[in-house]
Amino acid sequence: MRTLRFAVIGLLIAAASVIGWRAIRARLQPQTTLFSGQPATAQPVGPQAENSSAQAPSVAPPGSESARRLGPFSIAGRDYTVELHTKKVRPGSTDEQDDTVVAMEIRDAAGSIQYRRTFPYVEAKEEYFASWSVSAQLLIGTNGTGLLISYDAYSEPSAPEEEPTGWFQIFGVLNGKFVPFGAPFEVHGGLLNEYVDGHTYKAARPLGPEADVVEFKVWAGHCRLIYPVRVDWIRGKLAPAQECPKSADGLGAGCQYKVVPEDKLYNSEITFVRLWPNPDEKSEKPEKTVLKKNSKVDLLAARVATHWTEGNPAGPAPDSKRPMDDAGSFGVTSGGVAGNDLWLKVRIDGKEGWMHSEEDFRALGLPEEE
Amino acid sequence: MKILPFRWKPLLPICTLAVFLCSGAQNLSSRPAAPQQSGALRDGRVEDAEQRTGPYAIAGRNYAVVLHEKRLANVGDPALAETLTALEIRDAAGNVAYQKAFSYTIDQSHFQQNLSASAERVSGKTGAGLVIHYREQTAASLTSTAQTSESWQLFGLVNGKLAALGKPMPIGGPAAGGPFMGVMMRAANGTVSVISQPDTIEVRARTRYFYVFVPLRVDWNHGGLARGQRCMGMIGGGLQKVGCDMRVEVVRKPPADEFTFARLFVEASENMGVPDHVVMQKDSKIAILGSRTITTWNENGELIQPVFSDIWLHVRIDDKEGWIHGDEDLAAVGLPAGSPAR
Repeated sequence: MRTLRFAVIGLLIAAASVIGWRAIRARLQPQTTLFSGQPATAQPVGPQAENSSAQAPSVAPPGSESARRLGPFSIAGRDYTVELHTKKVRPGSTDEQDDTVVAMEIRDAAGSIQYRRTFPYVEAKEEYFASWSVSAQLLIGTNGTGLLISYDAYSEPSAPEEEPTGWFQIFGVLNGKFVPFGAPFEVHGGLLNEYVDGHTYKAARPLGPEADVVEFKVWAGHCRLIYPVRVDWIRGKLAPAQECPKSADGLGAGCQYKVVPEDKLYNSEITFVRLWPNPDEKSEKPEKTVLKKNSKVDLLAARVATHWTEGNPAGPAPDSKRPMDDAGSFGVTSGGVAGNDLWLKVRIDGKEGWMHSEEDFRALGLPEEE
Repeated sequence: MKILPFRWKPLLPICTLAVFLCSGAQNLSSRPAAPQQSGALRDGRVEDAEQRTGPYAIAGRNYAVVLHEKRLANVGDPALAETLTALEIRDAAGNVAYQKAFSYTIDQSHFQQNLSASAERVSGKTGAGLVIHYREQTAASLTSTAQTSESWQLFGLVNGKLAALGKPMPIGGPAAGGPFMGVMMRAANGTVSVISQPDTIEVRARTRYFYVFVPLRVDWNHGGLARGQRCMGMIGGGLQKVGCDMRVEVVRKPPADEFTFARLFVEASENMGVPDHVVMQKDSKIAILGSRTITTWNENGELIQPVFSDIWLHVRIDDKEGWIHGDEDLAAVGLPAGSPAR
């Protein structure tokens, strides 16, 4: 009897955790809805197809499908809306958390489809749940305005992560035509709160007369660095805003990035970290610096090798079950290669220096992936 | 039949020998007793002295150890005012059973090295033997601090003759003309037999930071000498030599700093886990629990010297337990690298 009671309590706690987690995710993505679809596709849509597409039946069975509209977003004097077609992963459910996006369409003011991307539909099973969500924000820079689309996948069971992995795609108007600025980019991180203002995301700064720098949060293993992307409004191109030196093996030898302050450091007792004057172990002997529970710690900069991989602008492979397989990526180069490890510049009670290695990150109380 | 354990620990030490020994000994060896003098003595007086210790009863025979020394008159530092120039082991009739001469150098009115020796009789189930412990101290110079090195000689009565036992053999290794040293064999039916059961002695030897007690297995009557431990560990998918646990003796000199720091590892290996960063303060409680080190034996002349590598110390700092190593961290717990006090 007692065992049964514990089992029931356990199930209730697990269910509450899942609902809570999904609710938090939904709240973080204000213009998000879940939709369904069959094989994944993504395509800019031509003028002739636009009209027919506007009334074309959805790829998914229409029975349980619903639609939601985001926008309008005003770009270069024209309004665009994002239409999300959703389906319940648990048929018959009335819970919005059970929605998954099966198709996303960007339409102009006349209702013509300018871009369409579909997502696979997988019905939830008792032990498995997978869904897609899409959100849209107006991207506002000094030299241009565009649309920033975020794609997120959620599945259960899944390991907890410090930062989720999502995809971002920027659209703009080029020669009067609404187009994607390349393929989506996969990012282990997300948007920076400081640039989010309602349904808009602000560029960090202008870069010359034709481009803006848009910053993203990227998980670096123990901290979140700020990765700047150059958005060229005239050519419709994205590129890293920082040039990094390459090592002899062709891998990035490391760039210096700003770091997002951590809300909480997990140090509970007196300890120490080793601070080097430069991000190089061989430069000098490190200074052992006392870290107390109430020490003032500032994360100043990160030096780490990063990568930028272009995606496939032609979209996902036909009949692909992976809707984002056309995506490129940017972020921190995976470790294991000499010289590619993370160096973090910190200030501890007024003392500045560079640290790296698991033992120092752990001593400082930085987050780490479980 | 197969050889049983890789790791052999002396469960029943027959006898314990405490002999002072310092690592890093390189210079102590048999040398012709030819004096060299590179500086003028103030009064030019070099005196001969002789010390006799014993008798030491070995297999029913008595032996005495005679130490021949040179002494300098009017030398400020008494530690460098005398040195051993020869050692003899004589039987009861006064016949020399063993002798060894050592060179010496006089520089700036003192001996450049001070060599001393002491003898001790050790007995066990396999008989009795003689252990000679040598200690050599080199004078400090402008560019270096004083260095101390130590060596040993072990003597047993083999075939009726007093003989030096030489370098300890590895466990399970072939003894050059001697007996197998304590290898246990297990038959197919599970019967375990011990081919020979030597005595175990412990040598108190100094690493660069503290003393450890190094076990040796000795068969006095057959002239066998082997290492007391052989420790292997799985590293990178294969068995490799690793350090052995040893008792430790420390004399701590706590640093005067307000804070000192140590990286506390969960195992005596840099590659096992992420070390904890521990800050020690003046009131921190530090307990020394043991040590782990790889010991190899060098033979220099007829003297044997242990060489320690991968030296780890097992400690408890306040409520945290773990392993530390390296000059910085050992100094942080009050064990700076260096020679032992005189």
